[in-house]
Amino acid sequence: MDERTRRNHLLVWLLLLGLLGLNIASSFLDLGIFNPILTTAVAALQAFIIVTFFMSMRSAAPVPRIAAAAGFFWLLLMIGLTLTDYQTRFEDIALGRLASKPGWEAPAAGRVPNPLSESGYSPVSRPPTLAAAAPDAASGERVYASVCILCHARGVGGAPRTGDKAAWLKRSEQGVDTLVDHAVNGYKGMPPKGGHPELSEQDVRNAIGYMLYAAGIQSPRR
Amino acid sequence: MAYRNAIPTPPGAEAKPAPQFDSLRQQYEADTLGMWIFLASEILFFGGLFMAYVIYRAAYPEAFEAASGRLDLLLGGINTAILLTSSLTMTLADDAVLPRNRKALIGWLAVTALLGTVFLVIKGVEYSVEFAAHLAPIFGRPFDFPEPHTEQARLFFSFYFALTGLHALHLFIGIVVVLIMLALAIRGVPRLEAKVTIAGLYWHLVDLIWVFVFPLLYLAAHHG
Repeated sequence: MDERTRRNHLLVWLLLLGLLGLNIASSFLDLGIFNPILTTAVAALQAFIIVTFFMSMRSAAPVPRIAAAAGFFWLLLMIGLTLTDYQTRFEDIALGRLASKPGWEAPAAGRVPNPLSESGYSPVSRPPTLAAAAPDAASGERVYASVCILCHARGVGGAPRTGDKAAWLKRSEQGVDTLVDHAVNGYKGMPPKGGHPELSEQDVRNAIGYMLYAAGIQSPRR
Repeated sequence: MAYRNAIPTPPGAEAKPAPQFDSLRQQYEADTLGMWIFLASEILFFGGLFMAYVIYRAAYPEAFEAASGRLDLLLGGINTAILLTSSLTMTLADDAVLPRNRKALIGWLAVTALLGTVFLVIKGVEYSVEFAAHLAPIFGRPFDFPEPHTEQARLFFSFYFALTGLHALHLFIGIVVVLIMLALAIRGVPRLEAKVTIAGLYWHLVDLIWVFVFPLLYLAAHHG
């Protein structure tokens, strides 16, 4: 076979091995956030080299080229849209960026709250005069964002979805006190206090107030 | 073999396209097009897993770093080099088809299948060590990881076994495909160029997926 072509293949192979070495070496350096960025960029470069040379994309016909490009384009779309969602919603909760909102307690420095297995929210002790007051949607938002959101955002286990007016209207007809009773003591798929016994009844009431507000049923109490 | 080199095809009785194609060139394009559409679906399949992994790694950076440090970087690195080398030998096999260099074709296909098998053996050694160290949260096996990262490490190792397991399954299929090509080449079946090229595309994609699996899983930790 053509010696020149064979030499090209060998050079491509050496380049790929060199990039592998670079990637491994980078994991011995502490570059902070740039560690994952660098390793992913090097992997992407390796992938580009494999597709271009070993997979002959350089000399492929136009239509297979479009099919291959479409595959990577869809992948980028999927990654882009998913990251957009998580960066603007999930990450706010996971990384405690809600700290900028009034009333939100910032998590301790260096500690990232884990929204799936623990609550970044620590209940604030309130003066007794506030107990049994009407739902306070603004403070309920904090409870909601740390606990209720896990099921009510997506309707896990038959939970009424946040913003689903029809579902919440049906339930609100029973009266807020019944809803609070169900949420505190458990009802069907709803675990008592959402599985967070440290929440007070007022916390639960506030969260329900927030979800009623989010469904457009009740205006927030300021 | 590059498409540019595939045309013009060598003259001869067997160099006729299948009845549904106007020309060999069109047939070759259709073959690679179909393969690339399949490969695009594979890219998205693994892409979804990568995406889920990245999101959880961003959510639990410390735990994923600690869990990644328990993987065998040396064996993982050797395996990556083996796969990259197997892509080279697959390309050399592909290049041997059209010059009708049957000996080279058989040799490079055999080396490619062998390298793929060595990868799976090393992977098996890694798995057995991880099973023994109670790091495999699968098949109801015990899972031990120091607090406070136990649950998040369980998530990491679930991703690890899902990603590497699915990759190993793909590689196993690739080895079977290469062995079929090898059998065809040994029997002297003519006009293997499209078949070997397509088998090669699949092989390279399995390599390409590993190129991302390796840094995501093994290089998530600082080894310094």
